[in-house]
Amino acid sequence: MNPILDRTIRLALICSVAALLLGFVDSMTAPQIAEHKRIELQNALNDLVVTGTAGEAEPQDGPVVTARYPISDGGAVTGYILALKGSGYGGEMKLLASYSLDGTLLKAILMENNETPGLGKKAEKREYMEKFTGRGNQGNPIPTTKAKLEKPDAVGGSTITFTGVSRALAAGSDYIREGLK
Amino acid sequence: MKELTKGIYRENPIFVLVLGLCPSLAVTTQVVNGIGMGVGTMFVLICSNIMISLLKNVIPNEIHIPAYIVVIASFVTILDLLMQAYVPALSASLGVFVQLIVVNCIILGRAEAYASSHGVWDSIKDAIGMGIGFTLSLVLIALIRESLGAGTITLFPIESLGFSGEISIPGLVDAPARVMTLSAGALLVMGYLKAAINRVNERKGR
Repeated sequence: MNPILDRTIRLALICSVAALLLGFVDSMTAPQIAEHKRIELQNALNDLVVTGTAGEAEPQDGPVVTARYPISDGGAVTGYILALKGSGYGGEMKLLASYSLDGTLLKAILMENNETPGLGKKAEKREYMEKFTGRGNQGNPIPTTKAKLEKPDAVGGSTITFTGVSRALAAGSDYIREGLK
Repeated sequence: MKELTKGIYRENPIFVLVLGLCPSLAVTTQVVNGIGMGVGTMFVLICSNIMISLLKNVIPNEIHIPAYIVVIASFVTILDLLMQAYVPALSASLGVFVQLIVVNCIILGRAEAYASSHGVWDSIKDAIGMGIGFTLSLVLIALIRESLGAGTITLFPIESLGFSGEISIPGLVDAPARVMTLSAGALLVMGYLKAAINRVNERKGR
């Protein structure tokens, strides 16, 4: 047999076996992975609602706001949970944040991200978001530079992550205050 | 036995063979990442060594590198999917580093230098030894970097014992040398450890 044809067939065979194996593992793990993601989202939504319940997702096509979940309490909408995207050191970061109708940030969680463990990944911790919560209403903007923080040391290192998170949260607040536009 | 123990010190993949440094230095900001990355790499190393040792007579020399890459990339993807499905917490904390195992030179290096010319059993022993040596080296680098750079030692949380996974070192946690967790610190620690090991080996040689 032509040696080039022989090598091509052998390589193609190895690739097909690998593809079959990967397809099998994927079909086995995909439902588990989807279930983890669903539980993670549900837990985050439950955690973000201070009072009331979060409704169904309403997709948005803004540059930062990608979806909103109305929070209703006794039939009236009292605020929104926004799905936001920001840009961090390791690429895109996904955030979920709840706001009251005047744009005040109630709670925020950093979801999917590729930040550096030990540095930017610290933004996943609950304490990280505390410096932003309660701000975002008229005359009390969300700080978007470390210089505007009361305790800048709290975020030592990882300036890019800080800027990405804070800008996304500030944009979410603006979105609410500007009448959900 | 020699096959099993040589990876731990005499042919240590990080300090002696100096293979796979990029992902190693990138993940060693926390001890837990060092353990996760080390064990993940060992899994891929064992699987790829077995497969390549079995296929060594089937793969012609001209196409051995692309064939090895297909085998290694497949095992890394399998590991990534299994971790996402069954240990999502570890998968989230290692993030992009799992995919980086594909380009870890240790795996391709052992396939090329060892598994392609040895039997299955010897290749498994080689992979286990190299895997243990790699994991221990990562843990050592991470231990120095994290304790000096952040003042903490991060391990796996054990919920039943109420252990959060983080041990704080008094004195260091309030005033850590931040540079140690950055890339420069990684190179510094690596350089000093390599120098120390060279010194020990030199003395032995005399």
